[in-house]
Amino acid sequence: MPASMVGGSPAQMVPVPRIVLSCGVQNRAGLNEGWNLLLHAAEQSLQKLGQDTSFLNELPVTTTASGEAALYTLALPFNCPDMSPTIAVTDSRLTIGSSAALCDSVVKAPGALPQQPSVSVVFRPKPLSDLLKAEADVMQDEDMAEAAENAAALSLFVREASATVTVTPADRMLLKVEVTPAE
Amino acid sequence: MAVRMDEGTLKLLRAGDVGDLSDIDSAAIAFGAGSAETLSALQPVIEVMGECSENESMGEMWMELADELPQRIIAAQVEQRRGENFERMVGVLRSWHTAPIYAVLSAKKAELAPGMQEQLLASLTAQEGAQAAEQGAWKGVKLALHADGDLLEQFSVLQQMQIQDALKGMPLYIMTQVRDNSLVVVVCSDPQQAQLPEGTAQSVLAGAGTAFMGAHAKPLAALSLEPNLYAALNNCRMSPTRTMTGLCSGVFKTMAEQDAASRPLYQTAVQAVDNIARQLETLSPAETRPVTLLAWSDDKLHIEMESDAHGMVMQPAATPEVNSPNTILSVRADRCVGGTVHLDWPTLLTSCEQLADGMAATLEPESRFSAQSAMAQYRLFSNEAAQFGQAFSSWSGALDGSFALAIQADG
Repeated sequence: MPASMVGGSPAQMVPVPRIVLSCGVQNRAGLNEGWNLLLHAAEQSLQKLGQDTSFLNELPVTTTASGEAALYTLALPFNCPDMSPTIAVTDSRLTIGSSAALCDSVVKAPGALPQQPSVSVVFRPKPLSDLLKAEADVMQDEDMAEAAENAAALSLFVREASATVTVTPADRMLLKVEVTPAE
Repeated sequence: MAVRMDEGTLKLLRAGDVGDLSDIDSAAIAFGAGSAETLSALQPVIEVMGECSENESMGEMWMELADELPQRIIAAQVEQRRGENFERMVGVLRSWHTAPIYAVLSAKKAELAPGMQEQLLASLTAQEGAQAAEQGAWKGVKLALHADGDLLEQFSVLQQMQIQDALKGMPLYIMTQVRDNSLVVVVCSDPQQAQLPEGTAQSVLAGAGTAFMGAHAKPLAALSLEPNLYAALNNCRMSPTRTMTGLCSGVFKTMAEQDAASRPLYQTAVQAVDNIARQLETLSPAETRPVTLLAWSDDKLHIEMESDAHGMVMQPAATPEVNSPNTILSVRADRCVGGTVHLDWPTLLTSCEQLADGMAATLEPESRFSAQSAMAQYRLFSNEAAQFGQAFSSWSGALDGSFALAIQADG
């Protein structure tokens, strides 16, 4: 059963995915400056549309502690733990996510240094098909049901696909792709 | 460089009418030393063929539109270009040399391989002008090449004779040999260059990380006899960025030629791909580099590729791992010190606009009007969109490049 639901009555609940992005920070002051530029651009666009921009400075945000960082969570007009846009900034990391709980776990997660620097991607079709199917059932959406079927068909063959790119000190680039078949 | 196809792939190919493949278990194609140069030398001929048909259609279109004087100028220009193309094509054909390209067809049963050889030789010798040829254990034919069809029609009779003469002077042999349960076929200009390796060290696969095959792999047709090895490139010079974007552009160009109704969409897609290629080249330079690739399977499918990193330096970062069985997508990247992509926002936004315009132009009139209205609305905010892009660049510039992204189905 998906943990995240948006909507009023149970019949209207729509499962949503939990998304989190955690980035390394090299210049926290620059991050603040860039954020202000983004707000400025948003303000100008809204003004051009003739909209009131004051709400940008009055967003309903709650603050909670997460280890040494503070989590800033935007309060939405419905109760959904996994639809709680959250941001946390420290001198070393910026974390943005759709779920306060997931952001909290990522902020607290110890980040161990890998032996060799790399970029890695892991994809699993089964949880994707489960999520799409649950959404399609609630929303009665045929396109989404078709997407769920496609993902389910893929999950019959592939359990997990991963790719890793490593750059060695000897200026060599290694790409490794692994496809694990479904059992 | 070598590529192996198993029975499933062959069945797919069979749908493309390549004849009876019921005796074949698997097939492998191997490009020996110099074959890559052979194939790249073909490029001018392909360019000439493409340009000839383009010139003809453009010439015809202009002729219809133009008055008498411009018509004469256009005709003279088309004639001059035709002459230049002729010289290029004949030049390539006269200096042509095909380095050996091998195909290994593995029979389902060992006794079937000689029958496959007989069948192939019979069909080759039935070709017009083909002469039987032998070289050591190889048996085959020397083909008589000639050109026909639309390509030749645009040239004068004298030029056509010169092209046919150049083709006659091009030696092209197809030689065959049966070894173990396999039929080996080689295409080459000089049968003396056709050699089968006696050990893995002499194989075209040598050095491509094939040590794991050990003593189980027989050297001749390592690809056809080792069921788990699918493809190997050994220090093959290529530019991954240019190869991929070139492929995409080529597909869209073909679609634009074939589908007149959607031509604007495909033409803008070609432009968009070119723009993306330029962006990618800031990350991965376009010049070719030696690439080694190996694809094999055990309980998983593996693809490994190695090339030089072109000065890209990565530093480990303490990035948290966000991965669980419920994770749909997990991406983790350490700090990339060199080779950061510098996004050119104005160009990117212009590409998106052009693509949207192209898509709108292919819609039905009523839908096209609403799409074009939406685009007109967007254009009112194009300055703001560019401002957002620049602000985002400034914001993301304060990050160090390491990141972890996760999308989970549920908690």
